[in-house]
Amino acid sequence: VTRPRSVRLATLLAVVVGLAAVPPARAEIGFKLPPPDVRGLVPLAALPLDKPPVPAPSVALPAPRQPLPDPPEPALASAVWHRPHATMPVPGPLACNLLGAMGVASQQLDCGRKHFFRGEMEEARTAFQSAVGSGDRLVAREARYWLGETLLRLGRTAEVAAPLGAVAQDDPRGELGVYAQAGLGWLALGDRDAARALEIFDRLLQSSLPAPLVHYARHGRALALYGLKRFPDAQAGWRGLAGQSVPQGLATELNFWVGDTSGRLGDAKNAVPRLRAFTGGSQTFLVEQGLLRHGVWSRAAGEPQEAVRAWRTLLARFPASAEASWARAGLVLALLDAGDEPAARKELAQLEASDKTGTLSRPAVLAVRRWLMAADGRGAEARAFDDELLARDLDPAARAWVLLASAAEARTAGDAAKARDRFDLVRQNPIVAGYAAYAALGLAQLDFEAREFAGAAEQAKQVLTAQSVPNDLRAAALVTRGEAAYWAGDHAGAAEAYRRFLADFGSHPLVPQVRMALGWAEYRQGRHAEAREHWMAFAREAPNDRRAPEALLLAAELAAASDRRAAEIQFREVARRYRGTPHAEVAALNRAVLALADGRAAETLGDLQGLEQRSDPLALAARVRVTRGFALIALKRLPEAKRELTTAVTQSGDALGRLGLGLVAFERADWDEATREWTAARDAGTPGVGQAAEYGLVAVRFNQGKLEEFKREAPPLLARRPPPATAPDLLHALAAVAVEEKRWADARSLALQLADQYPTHEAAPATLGSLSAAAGAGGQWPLAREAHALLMARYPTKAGALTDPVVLGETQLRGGSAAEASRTLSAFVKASPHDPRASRATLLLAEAQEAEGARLAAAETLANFAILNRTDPKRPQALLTSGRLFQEAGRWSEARTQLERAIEAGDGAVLGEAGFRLGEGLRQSGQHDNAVEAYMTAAYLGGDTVWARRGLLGAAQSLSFLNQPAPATGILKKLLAVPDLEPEIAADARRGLKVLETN
Amino acid sequence: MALRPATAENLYDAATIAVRLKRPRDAEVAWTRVRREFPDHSLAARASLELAQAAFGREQWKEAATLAVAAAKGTDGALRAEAHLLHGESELKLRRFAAAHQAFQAVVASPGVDAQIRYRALAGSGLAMEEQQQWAQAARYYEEVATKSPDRSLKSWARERHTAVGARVAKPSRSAPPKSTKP
Repeated sequence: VTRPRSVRLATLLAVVVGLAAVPPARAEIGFKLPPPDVRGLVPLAALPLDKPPVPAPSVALPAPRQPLPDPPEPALASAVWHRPHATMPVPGPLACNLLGAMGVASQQLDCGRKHFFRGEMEEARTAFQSAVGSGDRLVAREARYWLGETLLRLGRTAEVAAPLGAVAQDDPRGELGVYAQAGLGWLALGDRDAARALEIFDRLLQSSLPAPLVHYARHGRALALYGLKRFPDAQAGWRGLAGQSVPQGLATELNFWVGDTSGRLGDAKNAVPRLRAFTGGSQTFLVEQGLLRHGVWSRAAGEPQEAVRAWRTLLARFPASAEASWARAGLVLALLDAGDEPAARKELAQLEASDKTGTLSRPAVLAVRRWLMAADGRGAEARAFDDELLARDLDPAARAWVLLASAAEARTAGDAAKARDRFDLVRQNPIVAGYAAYAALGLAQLDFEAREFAGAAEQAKQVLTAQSVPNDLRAAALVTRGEAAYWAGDHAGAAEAYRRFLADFGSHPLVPQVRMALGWAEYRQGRHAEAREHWMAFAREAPNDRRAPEALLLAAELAAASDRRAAEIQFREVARRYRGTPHAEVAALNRAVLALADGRAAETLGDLQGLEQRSDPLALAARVRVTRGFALIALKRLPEAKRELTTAVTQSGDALGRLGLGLVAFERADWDEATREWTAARDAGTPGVGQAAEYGLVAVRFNQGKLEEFKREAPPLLARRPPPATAPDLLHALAAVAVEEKRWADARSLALQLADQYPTHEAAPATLGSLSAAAGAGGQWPLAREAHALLMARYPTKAGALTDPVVLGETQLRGGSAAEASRTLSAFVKASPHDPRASRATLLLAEAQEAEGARLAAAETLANFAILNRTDPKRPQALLTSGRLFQEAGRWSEARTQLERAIEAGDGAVLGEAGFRLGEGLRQSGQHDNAVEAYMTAAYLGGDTVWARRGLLGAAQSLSFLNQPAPATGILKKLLAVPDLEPEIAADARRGLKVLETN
Repeated sequence: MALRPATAENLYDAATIAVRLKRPRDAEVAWTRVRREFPDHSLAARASLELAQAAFGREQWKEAATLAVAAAKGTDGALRAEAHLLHGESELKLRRFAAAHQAFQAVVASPGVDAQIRYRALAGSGLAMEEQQQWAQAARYYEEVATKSPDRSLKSWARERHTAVGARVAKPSRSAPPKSTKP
């Protein structure tokens, strides 16, 4: 019973090759753990900042609901004395004569003319009236026209329409008809029927007018437009008359109308000189209105003294005029404007005495109250006045307003309780919506001042949900809500309020400050990109604001998290633009920190030059030194680094500095000092510093070779999810230790964890490669094969450099992939014939060839090996195996040569087997004499091996064939005398002996 | 009215201004001073005529007639014609029809007299004749006015009178007298 020859060969070679390939266990850990990665550990410096307050914009107290009524409107009229009329024939001589009295209409008309000329209007009216009934159409028409004109001059306007209307109808295109139409236009204006007047004057201006009438028709049209409140059109009409030669009377009147219309169009400054010119003349027409309007627009133009003069003139000259009461009310306001409150109060008293309805006096009273509120140092008087007013019988709206004013006064005076009570009264009785909203805002601001932020935010929110809130109130409510919500911790609510403010009040002066606040609100919500955007916008919008560098600094810090390049540019900008400020120093330091984190240590040193002398406070100086220390470590300038870091630690006890000192010691392999510094850093540092120090301490253990301590300390560190820069190295080291200790399962688990969790780390493929190699070397063929497969799959470009092809070939061979192993090993042998591993690879190749059935190739491979490796101790075995394989392939000649060489080179078992196989071959080819010699060589030089005993058996058999029974018998007996003889050999020997004895 | 130096022209101008200022009393004082202080001045006749007109307006017919006669002594032909016309109308009011007719005829006889004045004078003569029941004479004057006056109202009136007087010529007792000649 024999085992398959291949197995035998495999077993043999495995012993021969395998034992020699296993490397010494400790030699596998050929690396040191790196120091902790500290590049990102130097934090950006930051000034102690928080959101600056946004002052709530001031909100004017709402105007009282009962304002001073508009001043009385002026009559839409032009003085009749200078208005043109139709050409009147000169009265004949001796007008108003007997014939007229006797009913001669022409004489009556003439008489009327005479009186009209003389301004004797009543007499003229009588005469014209007499002539109107004339049967002579022309006389009657003329009489009617002049009757109309006369009636106009008599102020009997109600009677004018009939005669002028008849003339206009009778002779629409004639001179009298045209003038009659103009008269009807003036009549319509007098009736304030501006639309009809406009229609009439428009129609007139479209026809051919007598020259004197043109300017007046335009004036009448402008008056109609004024009456229709189409002030720009009216003004344009009057401006069209400017520069033209208009009659003096009209020119004077234009001063009134143009002036008043300028005021109505918001140009009070230009209204005043026109009205001053108008009222300064001697005319009487419209003069009360002129004085009234002069005062109105003077006050509007900020000239209260001129208003006072105008209204006092009006009151003195026309005390009974319709404008007098209003003028006195205006006088109260103007005197307040001028700061003459005592005089205003005197006028107010007169006004109250005469104005029983309170239409004018009530608004004036509230105006005095408003004035007291605005005046500095009059708070006590204002409060007293409030009490006086609240004791009166005020209407609800006026009472609410006084309460509101009183609450605002109390808040200003610091009497929060009174302010709150009165604001509450107004809010709970919303007589006027605007007052309630103002009161709610007041309550919100009181809450805010009392640091009841949540309540303030809610109150302000209620203001914002109210209907028709004035813009200034909304703006203040949004700011109050934003501020209150922010300090209440409702950063989302604050951000919403700030955003609404920016959307609705884009041109408000507080926009930059609100944008800054919005940045903070976003930042507090972790919305760093949005925060950064707002801070940068703030710096753009308010480059000269003292907080602009602060905003840029904050924005740059946020940028550093995602876009370090942008952050660096921004830090540089702050350092340049705000040189000499603390912000600039922080910016310069931070730029250096970013350069360090980016691996540009030399730049870091440049940025920091001289900064530690300028930096204040001391903590910042220490941070500068620490940053410089780390940069010097990166540049391997260890002594300088140690000096900087030591100074930093002395200045501030900075744990980061101690971490740096540990690094310096680590770089010098001063493990004890590194351990001391890192222990201190771990105990005192931030979490990041602590983690780095912990890793450093573990790395020190590993590098010191204190593997038991390393194995104890590293896994807990890994379990705490260390930074990505630390974990792969730890896994790498732990895997290496596991490999060294042949804890294959642990080694596999760690290598896979490394490859799975940190696939891009350089230690991942290295660990797989070394695991594959070590497992192969340890005979862990499946593990070796798995590790190599992973290496190939995940790191195809690195696998070649990390794989030992001889180990790989053997792994493949042992894993049952003989053909694959044959290719791997054959390629290696051909490519690297002089590699020290080539001889071993050749032997493995032969084994693989035999395993895949290519015995002849295996035989030749071994033959070549024997030729090329004459001194190799494995040469005799290779010759023997080669001979056996040739022999099994029937290639006796090559087999005999290889076997004879094996006998020559080998000894012991190799020689014994070679001799036996040579004998077998010679016997089978009939060369028994030579066969006996070969057998005996095996028997006598083959030692105590089975081959020696088989040699004796073969020799006996060949001697028997040569008919030499005696020696044959003797050999067989000798063989059978061998103790523990293999049974099959013993059986064959006895059988041979029996044959010999029989023969 | 204290004018220095007081000349006829100044006084007359003052009167004119007083009229425009609707101060008729002042005007009359000024005209009276012209008459008194400068009786030989050409403006004295004109002032007399103005005063006559004023008196006529006040229905002071006698004073009007007297002043008109004084005015008629002036040298200006047109003014004299106007003065005669006013004199005639005043006399008519005083129901002194012959004197009235005589004054109207003085107008008619004046050379180059204004047509308005002339036909008013003829109309006046017609009235004076009518009041004196001299119907044919009256009709003749009315007819001339009705056919030749440039004043259509006057012509129309004259036609009416002519028709009435013509009827009176046929039936003298039933003719209606002119309505406004009574003082």
